[in-house]
Amino acid sequence: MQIDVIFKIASVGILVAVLNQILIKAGKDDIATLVTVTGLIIVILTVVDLVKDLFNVLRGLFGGY
Amino acid sequence: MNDVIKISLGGIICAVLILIVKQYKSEYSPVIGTAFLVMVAVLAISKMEDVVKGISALGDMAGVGADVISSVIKMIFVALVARIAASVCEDVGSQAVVTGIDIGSRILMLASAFPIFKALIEGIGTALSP
Repeated sequence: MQIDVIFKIASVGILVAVLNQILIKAGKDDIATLVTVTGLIIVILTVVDLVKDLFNVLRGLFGGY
Repeated sequence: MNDVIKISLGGIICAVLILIVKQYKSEYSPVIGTAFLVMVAVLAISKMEDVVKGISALGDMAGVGADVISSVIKMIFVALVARIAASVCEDVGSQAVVTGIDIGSRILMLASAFPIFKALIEGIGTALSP
């Protein structure tokens, strides 16, 4: 059980929030939106990987029934 | 015992991180919760292998048909997966999706259990008929 995945997601979230604020203050709103969406995609891809592992374990355990 | 400490401490850390991240970017907090839930589910289900095999063996020993055991285990599986999916959606806040998953899983469990009922009633009917 890797607790560092959770830390990675949280740190990506906070980093994106900080970058968002900086970019909005600098006036580049569109890049800020792009950064937000990119961060969300990275995080969701990580979770999809975990969910894939979960369903593989489930199918391995219950697959024969 | 080590596992329960891992799960509990991980849960506390995760809850604190969700609280912090929710202030800045509220769309990331359900993702953290989902990641934690999925990891704990993998950990717990890996321990369940002996239980499932035990249920299967007990069913064989009791002499009930193989489809009865299969139905029971299928019901456990449906309940587990539906609970995980519904918790994730509840975190995001879409109650309609939660209700949809809930209703769908219950109907699937009913459909899986119905043959057992039917076999039971038929068995009683056969036993009671003159």
